[in-house]
Amino acid sequence: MRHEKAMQLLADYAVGRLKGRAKIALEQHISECPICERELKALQQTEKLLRGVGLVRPSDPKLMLTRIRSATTQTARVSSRVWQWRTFWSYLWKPAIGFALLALVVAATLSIWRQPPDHPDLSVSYEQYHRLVSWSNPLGNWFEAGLSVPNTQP
Amino acid sequence: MTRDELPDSLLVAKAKKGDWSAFEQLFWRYHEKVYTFVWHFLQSRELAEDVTQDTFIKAWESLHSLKSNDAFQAWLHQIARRLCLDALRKRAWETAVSEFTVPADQQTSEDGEGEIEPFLAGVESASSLDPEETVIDNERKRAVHEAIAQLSPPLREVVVLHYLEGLSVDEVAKILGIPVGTVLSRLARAREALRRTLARYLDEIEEGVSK
Repeated sequence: MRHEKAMQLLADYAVGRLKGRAKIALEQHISECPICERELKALQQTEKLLRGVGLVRPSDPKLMLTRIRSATTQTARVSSRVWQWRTFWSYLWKPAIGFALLALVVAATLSIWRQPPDHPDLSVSYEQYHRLVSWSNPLGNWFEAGLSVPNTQP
Repeated sequence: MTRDELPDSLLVAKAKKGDWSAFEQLFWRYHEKVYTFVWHFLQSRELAEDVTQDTFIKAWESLHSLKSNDAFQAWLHQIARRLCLDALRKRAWETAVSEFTVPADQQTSEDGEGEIEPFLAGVESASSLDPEETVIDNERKRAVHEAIAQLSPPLREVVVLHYLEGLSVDEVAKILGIPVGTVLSRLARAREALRRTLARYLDEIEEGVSK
């Protein structure tokens, strides 16, 4: 093992977090390298002193757990609904985007394929050709505007 | 295999399905670690209890977003760290407002900021020690905590995570979102600072080892 690599692994080794082959290789390197041996000794002293103070306990962990339980129960109904929607969309967003893109492609294809025919008879106006009521006088032709029923009696 | 011995990944998988008792197991496994980290971060017992509680509430609510069940501890610490930063911002804002509105001679420390005595009350005491040894032990613990408290926040958090909680350098880097090299350099700087402050206690340990 190279010295630089060994120096990187010493911190984990000192707190007992190095396992397997890396640990064996480092131990072999330490036995041959006085610099690493000295560094490891300093690290282990610090680790021993700091670890000696131990972890800290909250004043009443049981009460804390009860509060956590009650807080999570209160929000459970709302969050489960949100969660369900989130889960629903997490599975469906890809198909939904795919479907939307497909619909766009189909619409574009149809619009190109079914182009309206060119104006066949230039002697009649566009409005007349399409049987539309003139925009300038929408009530000019009551029949066309749908406001009058033609008299079909003979 | 009893429930206590179940790996995190299995408990997290059960908790994700809504098994509260699995989550409770995770709470008992990690609450002291989270609390220790948060206490050192905020230097306030009361605030640390609130933030620890909020950390577990947040963890339960967003458990489904945890992708790798094995990474629960690192993820939990990330949540705790974010909440600590929020709490610090809020406290800084409240301090600024109170400094602006309340005269300096009327200001009091309500949240017990910087308290070492109440902190020591929460530290597990070694029952096997005789009274004299207990006094020495408490003195040493107090000195260590004061020395850690004097470190700058970036150095303090790597020391707490690596030395007090025993996390690997990789895990610390993941929690803090910094490169491994930065963690190593911060650890080295922190160790130098601690060595200066705690030289007496380190010598005692060295003597104990050499005997």
